[in-house]
Amino acid sequence: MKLKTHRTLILALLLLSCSREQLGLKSAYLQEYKLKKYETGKIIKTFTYAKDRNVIKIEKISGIKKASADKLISDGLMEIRLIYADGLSPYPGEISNKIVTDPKMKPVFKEIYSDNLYYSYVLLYTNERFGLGVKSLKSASYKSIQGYIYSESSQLLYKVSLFTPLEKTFEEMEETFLSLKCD
Amino acid sequence: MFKKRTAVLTILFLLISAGIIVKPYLFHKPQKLYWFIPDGMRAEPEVFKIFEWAENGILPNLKRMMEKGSYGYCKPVYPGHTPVNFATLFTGTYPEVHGVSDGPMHEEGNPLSRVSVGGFSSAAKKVEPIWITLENLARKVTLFSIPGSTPPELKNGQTIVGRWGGWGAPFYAVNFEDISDGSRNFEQGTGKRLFFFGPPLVKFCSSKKVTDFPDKIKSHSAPKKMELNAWGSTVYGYIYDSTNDNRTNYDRIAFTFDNEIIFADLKEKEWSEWLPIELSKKIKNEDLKINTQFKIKIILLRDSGYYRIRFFYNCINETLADPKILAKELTDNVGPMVDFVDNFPPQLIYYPEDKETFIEECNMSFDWHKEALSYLLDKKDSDIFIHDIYSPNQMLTSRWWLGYIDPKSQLYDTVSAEKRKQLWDEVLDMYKKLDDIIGVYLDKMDKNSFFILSSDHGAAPLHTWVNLNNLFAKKGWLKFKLDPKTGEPIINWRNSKVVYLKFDHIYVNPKGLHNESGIWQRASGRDYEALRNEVANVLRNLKDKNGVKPLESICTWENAKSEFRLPHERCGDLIIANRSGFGWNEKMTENREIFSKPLKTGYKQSIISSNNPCMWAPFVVIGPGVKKNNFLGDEPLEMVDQYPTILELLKIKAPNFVQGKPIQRIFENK
Repeated sequence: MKLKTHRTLILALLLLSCSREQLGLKSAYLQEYKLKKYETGKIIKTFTYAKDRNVIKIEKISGIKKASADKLISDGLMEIRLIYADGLSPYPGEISNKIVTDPKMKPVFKEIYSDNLYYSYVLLYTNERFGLGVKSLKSASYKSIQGYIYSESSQLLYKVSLFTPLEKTFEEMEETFLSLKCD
Repeated sequence: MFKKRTAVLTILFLLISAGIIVKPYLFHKPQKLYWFIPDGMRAEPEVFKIFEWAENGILPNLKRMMEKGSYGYCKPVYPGHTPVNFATLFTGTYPEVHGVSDGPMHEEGNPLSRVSVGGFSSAAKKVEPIWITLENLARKVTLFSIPGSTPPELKNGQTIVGRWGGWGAPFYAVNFEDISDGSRNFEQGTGKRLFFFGPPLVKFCSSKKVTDFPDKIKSHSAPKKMELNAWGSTVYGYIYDSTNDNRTNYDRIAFTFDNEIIFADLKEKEWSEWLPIELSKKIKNEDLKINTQFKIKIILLRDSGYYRIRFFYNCINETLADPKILAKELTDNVGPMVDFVDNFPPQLIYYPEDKETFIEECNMSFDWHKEALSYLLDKKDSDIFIHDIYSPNQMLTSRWWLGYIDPKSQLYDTVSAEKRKQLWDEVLDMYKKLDDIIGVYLDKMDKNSFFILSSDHGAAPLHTWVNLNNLFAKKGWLKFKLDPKTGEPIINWRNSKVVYLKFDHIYVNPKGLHNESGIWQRASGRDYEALRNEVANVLRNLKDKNGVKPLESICTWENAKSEFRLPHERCGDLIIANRSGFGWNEKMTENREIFSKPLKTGYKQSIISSNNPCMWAPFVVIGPGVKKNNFLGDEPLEMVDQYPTILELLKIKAPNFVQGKPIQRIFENK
C-alpha cells in the first residue's frame, strides 16, 4: 500500500512537472537563448530568455479572439505613441518648454502579415532598466523591439519585448523577431 | 527508509524542474511599508513648526506618529525641487548618480530650444528606484500619484497617474475668459499656455447676443452665446439675465452640447456636478478619444456679462493607470480624480475670485485623495504603498499665502495682522487635511507595518523675478524678438552666445549657442573661458534696487559634482543658485527689465537648502524597531539617508549605488 502511494505521488508530480505551458513559438534564433524565468498568471504566461546582454520577454495569451487581440494591440501601440509624442516639458519657462524626441530616436512602427501570423511592432530605444521614454541618444542603453504576434487560427497572442545592446542593428533585431513562428 | 528518501528527493527535484515559484513570503508575509510624501510640505523649527502644532492639538494624527516613532526635519538636495528630490528619495543618491539634475534637462547634441530629458520621466533616472528593487524581491507595490513613476516600470504592481512623465493623455483644467479688448491675452503672453507652449490653459473667447436660444432659458435681457472649445470638445454657454428688474445684469450661464439640452445652469461662484464628456488628443494622424468627466465653475460673472469660467477634468483615465482598469475602478468607486490643483504655470492667480476657486479645488483634491487612499488600502493588498499629493506645493507656491505669512518675506507687512491670521488659518486648514490623510494610514496599518511621512522640499517666499535673459540681451549676448500677436519670444540661437535655461543653468558659447546643424555642443578654449568668466562676474555683481545680490552661489560645469553633486553632462556651463526671495526666470520682454514683480509668492527651485530652513521638510517614521517619542533635533537630516533607512527597517540590503546612510538614531537598541 505504501509503495503504491509513493508511486502515485511520484507519477502525479511527474505530470505536474510537464504542466509548465509550452511557449508555442519556434525560432532558430530563440534556440540560442536560455529560458531564465517562467511566470504564470491567471491569463498571461511569461517566458524570459537571455543570451549575454540580449533579452527576449514573451507574454502569451491563449484563447483570444481577433477583435480582442486587435484592441489589445491597438491600446499597446497607442501607449507607446503617447510616450513618444512631442510634449510639454515640466516646470518650463519661455524657452525650456517642449520635450521633443530626437528624430533619430523616434519609434518606428511596422506591420507585417506572414505565414498566417500578424506581426505588429515598434523599433525604439530604452534605458538600462529597459524602461520606455528615452528620447535622446545619450540616455539610451538598449535598442528594443516592442511587438505583438497574433495567430487567428490558434487564437494565440504574443507580446514580445526584445532588448539588445546598442551595437546591434535594428535589422538584425527584426530578423530575430520575425523568425518567431507558431509551432 | 531508502524509498522514503527517494520519494522526498524526487518531489524536490520535480518541484524545482517544474519551475514552480515558491515565494518565500508565502510562509512569512513581508512587512508592509506605507510612505506618504506630500509635495512641498514645508516643516522647520522657525515658522512651519508642525511638531509644535501637533503638540498643541492642531495635527492630532501627526502627534500620534510622534508618540509612536522618531521625527525630525530633512533638507532637500540641490536644486531643491520635485523631480530631483523624489529621485533622491527613491534611490538614496545625489543627482550625480541618479542623473536627474533638474526638471527640464539639456544634453549635448540636441538643440537648446527644446528639452532633451524630462526630469519627471521614469526613464531619466540612471539607477533603479526603490519600487523596482522591492518588486524584484517579490513585493507588491502601488505607486499613487508619484512623480518620476511614469512611464510605469512596475511589472505586476499598480501605477496610478504620475506627474509629467510623458505618459498617457492627461487633460488639464482650462479657463475661459471674455476676450474684451485682448490686452489680457497679450499681457499673459506665454503664461496662459500649459507649460508655456502647449494647449492653452486660458482661452479668451467672445460672446455675442442671440435671439435664438434653448427654451429653458428665461432671460430678461438678450442672452449672449459663446463657444467654449477645449480638448476636442465644444460646449456652448448662454449668459443670461434671470432677474426681472429692468436692468441688464447677467447673472447665470447655461451650458449645452447641442444648443438644446441644458446640462448645467450656474450662477457666479457655483460648481456644477461631475458631467460626462468625450475629449480627444491628437497623436499624429490619430484622434485618441477618451470618455471622461468634468465639472464647471463660474469663477466670476459681471453684470455686463464679462466672465471667467473654469472647466476641471477628471485627472485619471485609462491611459493614466496601470493596469488600465484601475482608472474606471477609482472613478466608479471614489469619483473623478482631483489631483493637480490649479495648473502650471498657475492660472488661479489673476483675480481675487481665483483664490476661492483654488481653495475649493484644493479641498476637493484632499477629499478625493483621502477617499481613494481608503479604497486602495482596503481593496488592494499591497506590501509597499507610496503616495504623493501635490496640493501643498500648489498652495505654498501660489500667489495668495506664503508671501504674507512668512516673516522673511518682503510682503509680510503689507497685510494687516487680521488678514495674516486669516491666511494662516487657510494654510493650517490645508495641513489639517494632510493630517486627516495621516489618520487614514494610522487607522489601517497593523503593528508590524512601517509608516513614513516625508516630503521633497519646503517653500521659500518669492518677491522678485530675476529675468536673466533680459540681462543677457542688454549685454548683447542674447538675440531675440517678440511675436507681436502673442508676446512669445523668438530666439536667434545661431547668433546668441549666452542664455539662461531653467532652473539653474547658463549656457555659454562665443561662437553661437547652436552650431550650423542647429544643435548645442559644449565649447572650450580661451574665448569660451573669457566669456564664461565675464558672465560669472556680471552675475556676481548683479544687485537689485535695494543693493541685494540675488546670486547665492555659482560654479562651472567642471565643478558641478564637487560643488552641487550634479551630473555635469546634464548641466549648463554655469550653475547658479539664488538667494531666498529671488527666483531665476527665463522671461524676455521688450523693456528688458531685469527685476520684476511676480504674482506668485512662493518658490523653491534654485535655493540651497542648508541655510534656508524654509526649504526643509518633515521626516517621521513609525514601526517595529523604531524608537518612540524620539525627536531627532532641529538640525535637518539628509534626503539621501531616507532610502537606506527604509531598507534597513525592511531588513533588505541596499544596492551598491546608494550613497546615503541609515539614520541610526531612529533604531531601538542602537
